[in-house]
Amino acid sequence: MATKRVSVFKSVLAADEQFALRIRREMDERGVLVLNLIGSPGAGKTSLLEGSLRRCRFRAAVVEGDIATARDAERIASCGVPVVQINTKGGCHLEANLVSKALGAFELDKIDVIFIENVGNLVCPAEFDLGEDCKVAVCSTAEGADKPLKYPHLFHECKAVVLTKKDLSPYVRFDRELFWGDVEALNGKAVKIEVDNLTGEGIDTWLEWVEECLEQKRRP
Amino acid sequence: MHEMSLVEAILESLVPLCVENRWRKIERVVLRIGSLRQVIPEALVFCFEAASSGTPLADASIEIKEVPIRQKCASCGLEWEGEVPLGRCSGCRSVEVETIAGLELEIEALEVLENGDEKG
Ligand SMILES: Nc1nc2c(ncn2[C@@H]2O[C@H](COP(=O)(O)OP(=O)(O)OP(=O)(O)O)[C@@H](O)[C@H]2O)c(=O)[nH]1
Ligand SMILES: [Mg+2]
Ligand SMILES: [Zn+2]
Ligand SMILES: [Zn+2]
Repeated sequence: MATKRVSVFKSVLAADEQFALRIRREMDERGVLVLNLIGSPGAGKTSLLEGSLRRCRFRAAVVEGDIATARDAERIASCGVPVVQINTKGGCHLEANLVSKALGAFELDKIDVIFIENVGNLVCPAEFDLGEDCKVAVCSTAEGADKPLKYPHLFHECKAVVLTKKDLSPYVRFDRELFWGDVEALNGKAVKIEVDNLTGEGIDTWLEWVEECLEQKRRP
Repeated sequence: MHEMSLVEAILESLVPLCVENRWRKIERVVLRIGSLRQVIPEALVFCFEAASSGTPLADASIEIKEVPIRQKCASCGLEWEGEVPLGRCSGCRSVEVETIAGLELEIEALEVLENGDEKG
């Protein structure tokens, strides 16, 4: 009996990356835009979607990742768009194999944009590729302005940062300059959007960005 | 806590590999993990010890090689290492920066105990 050293050089997430690859390929072929919304519990992800779905001119669908309940999916369904719920049963992030199954429930030729609301968590959802076109960081003023530097991977990798609860900014003494300065330092390309989900302020700017992404994706 | 997911993925890939190759067991797993991946080494080892019991990796030790974040400016070619990723080149201020290291999540190597044909 002998101990032997074996070289492997294999990605830990190789199996799940295959699912992500397949999702990306299929959505590219179909010209369907997929956005992966990531943010802490209560950041305002579902509220942002509710506001968007009521106003958007494209055909949307939503994948809702939640640890336990179907509450968010019910909120989305009442906006009249197709929604699939994924319960991660304790898991604190979505993985591509779960999303792949969920997407099978949609009539994809009737959809332009799929929003994936990831499980409320600023850390690990950033680590898992779901086959999306872009990750979007959703962060509220109430969480404090220091979040980008504390969770650099998400803010570095996302294509857009949506700052929610703009209306609460004066009450929580939110340091806007610090927040956007840190976002800029981590990610010079990220689009910066501020919204108040309760009044709908800023939602049009956000939707314009989504439409731009969709157009870009479909441009021959 | 995505460490548990990573451990599950490691076991799902290595247990079959061990069976295929008829190794007696895997004694050491060497991982390369990029600093951007937000993995807490102690948490990963803790999860591994809990999840590997009853598998051919039950007594394996885990070695984690941390890979620092390395970026390169696509405009001027400047390369640098850092604790946090930068969104802009410090040389020419371009935003076209690429992360060339720091995102690794790899199984680099194993030490395995082979099934010798010892008697008795
Ligand atoms: N004042 C204010 N409240 C908001 C805003 N956006 C969301 N909220 C409130 O914040 C709370 C959480 O909002 P949700 O949209 O459920 O947050 P979420 O990110 O989907 O939460 P999880 O799915 O549980 O992670 C709700 O009570 C919302 O009404 C906003 O822009 N301003
Ligand atoms: Mg929600
Ligand atoms: Zn997780
Ligand atoms: Zn440069």
